[in-house]
Amino acid sequence: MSLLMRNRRAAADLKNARSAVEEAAVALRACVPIASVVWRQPVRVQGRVRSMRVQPWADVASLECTLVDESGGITVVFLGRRKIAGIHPGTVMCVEGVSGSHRGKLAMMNPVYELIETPHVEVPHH
Amino acid sequence: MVTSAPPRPIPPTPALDLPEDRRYRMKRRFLGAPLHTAELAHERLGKPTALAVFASDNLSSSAYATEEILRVLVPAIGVAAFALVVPITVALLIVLGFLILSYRQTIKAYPTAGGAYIVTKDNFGLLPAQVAGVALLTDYILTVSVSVAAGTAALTSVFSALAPWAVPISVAFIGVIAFGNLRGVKESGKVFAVPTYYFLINMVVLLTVGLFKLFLGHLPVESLHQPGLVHVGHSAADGALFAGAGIYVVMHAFASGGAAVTGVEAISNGVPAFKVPEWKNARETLVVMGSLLGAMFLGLSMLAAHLHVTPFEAGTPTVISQIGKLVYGRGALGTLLYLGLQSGTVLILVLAANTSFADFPRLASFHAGDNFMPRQLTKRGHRLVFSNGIISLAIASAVLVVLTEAKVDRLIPLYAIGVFTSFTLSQGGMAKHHITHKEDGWRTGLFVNGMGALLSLVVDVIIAITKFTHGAWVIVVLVPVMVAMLVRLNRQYESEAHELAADAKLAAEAPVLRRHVVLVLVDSLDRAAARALQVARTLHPDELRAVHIAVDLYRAELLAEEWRRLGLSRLPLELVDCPDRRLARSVLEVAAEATADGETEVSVLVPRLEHRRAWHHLLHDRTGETIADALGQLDHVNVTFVPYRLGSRKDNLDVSIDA
Repeated sequence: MSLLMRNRRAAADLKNARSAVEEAAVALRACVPIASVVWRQPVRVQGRVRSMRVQPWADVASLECTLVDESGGITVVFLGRRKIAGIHPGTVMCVEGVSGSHRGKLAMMNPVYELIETPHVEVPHH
Repeated sequence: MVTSAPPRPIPPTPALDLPEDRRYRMKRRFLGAPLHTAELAHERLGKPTALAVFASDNLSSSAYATEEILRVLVPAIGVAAFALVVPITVALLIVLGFLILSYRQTIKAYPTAGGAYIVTKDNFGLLPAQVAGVALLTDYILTVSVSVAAGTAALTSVFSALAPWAVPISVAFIGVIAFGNLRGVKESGKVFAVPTYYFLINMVVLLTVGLFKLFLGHLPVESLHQPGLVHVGHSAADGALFAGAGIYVVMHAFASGGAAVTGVEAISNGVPAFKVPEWKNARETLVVMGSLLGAMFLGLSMLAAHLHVTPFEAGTPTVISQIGKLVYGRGALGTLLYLGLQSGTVLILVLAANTSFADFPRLASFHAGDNFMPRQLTKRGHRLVFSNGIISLAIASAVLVVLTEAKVDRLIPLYAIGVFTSFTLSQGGMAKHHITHKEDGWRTGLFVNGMGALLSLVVDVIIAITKFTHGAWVIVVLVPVMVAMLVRLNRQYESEAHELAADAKLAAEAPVLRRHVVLVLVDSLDRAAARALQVARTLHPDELRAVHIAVDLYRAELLAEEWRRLGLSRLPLELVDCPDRRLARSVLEVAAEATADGETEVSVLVPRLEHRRAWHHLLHDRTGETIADALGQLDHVNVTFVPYRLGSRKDNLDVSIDA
């Protein structure tokens, strides 16, 4: 076995080891299916904004979204916000927080969010 | 006690000041002012008028019956046909005689409405009644087609230049008759009297002159070798004539002539229209009608037999027209009389078609009333006639005329099977009636009706067999298929009615659902949406929200921005993602989610534009209606349209849009 060959194998082993660590890191922060979310547990889920609720000025400022994945949906509430850049119907995002309830439904209040994919808003030419 | 303003009487007409829509205005101009339901009072007819009203179908058959017999006989057996036409006519008259006697019984037993449908239903039940009814309906359609085609042939016999236009002329006749019936020509019985008696007088003159000349031996014999005549067959030896093939030909000719008997039932359908005592007057009119038909049919056949009148291949000039020309000769008076005869024939044939326009819609309404035909046929229209039945008949008969190119001889094979089927069933029904009720003289009645039923059955079978390959198979196939369809339709109606009636009382007392959610569909923040929001807020629901389906995100964001600036409290706007642009589906999902808990009633308010002009509708799609249709699939989801009338800025809008 030549030196060159041995070096190559070492490099490959190192690369594999590195990606395994990365995978583990991702796994630690892994998203769970929304259907498996239990009340009052810290949780991280990812889904698409199916609908969002816009409050008129006269009401308390809040932005309410329904986040869905293939397994189910959950209400995500951002209190004190009227709008958040990048959150539209159709946005895919990851939210992390403690599950609670809002208006009798399973919800997450003011979670940490990460936009994964925002829909392209096409502005008309005129 | 203090009141703000003393109460005053309500105004005579509701405060409704709306112009009628264009369709109604057109209808009114076209058909005249609407008739009040109370004007449905039956006009009572004296015997002479009743004869004119009811007998035209029957009497007009004499205009083509002889021709149809000859059309079968001449190509098959040649000159011998002229020896057989009178005996066949007599055979048919015997059938006619028995039918007249039978119907005399029916009229007495069913003085209110003695149609085949009612009699069969009463004695045999609903299913046989469908057979009788459908058979009769097909024949009413054929009566229109045959009469109109024959009337056109009578017209083209005089004006041969019109012959290429036979189909448009026939369709135009149907159109005119249908129009007259939609207006309600039935009111004026006198209108019928003129053409019927005009035809009768012309026939009397023709037969008197003809038979007089016949006995004096003054009549010429027509050549059998003119161009355009039907092929003249070879005369078989007398002995061979009555061999199998010969009998078949005679039967076929008899079947073709059977068309003459159609229309006998018309009087029994309309007994209530006679003056008191209805049944007695109806019976007398029936006998007069039968005698007149018999005399005319026999007279024409005798003349045709002697003159050797041969039908033309094209159906025009007609046999009756040829007889007229030969009898009256070529003089000025002769031509005048001839023209009188032809115009009388055209008139009576057109009038015969009109009889069907009175009978078909009524019979169809009986079917529909028993849930065997679409309900729309029971509805009386603008002028108190069964408009839908009239229109259906006009369309069906016009299609038939076009398909057969307005040729009587192509229609005849289809004709008369239905009538004889219904005769068989209704006379059989009468026979059963006699056995069941055993009124005075029931044995005689049983004999008469039994013979009537038997004869009708025999004729029916003869017609079906001999004309089967010529087109009768259409009816033999069509009637059972139609009956099967009606039965299927009936099952649907019955199951609907059953479901609707099931536990209705209990359902009415069911507790209301706990929650009421109102969703207002908002496309953009405009006056139509504002109107819907105004209505929504009068409902005071447990939850109220506006819903926008975000097909176009830019527009959705603009709307959201406007919404945030609104001063409306407790009225959030929900933006719903709709990646596949299926609006109705998205709304359906939102509504389904709202009712998911099983204790929520959802009302969806849909703003709808009301346009001032019909064409303005074309500028908008029917999204609202599509959504409403989709929502109809969900329980406890209810749709309310909120109209916004375009072109009305006066409405009292108290929603401030711009905050």
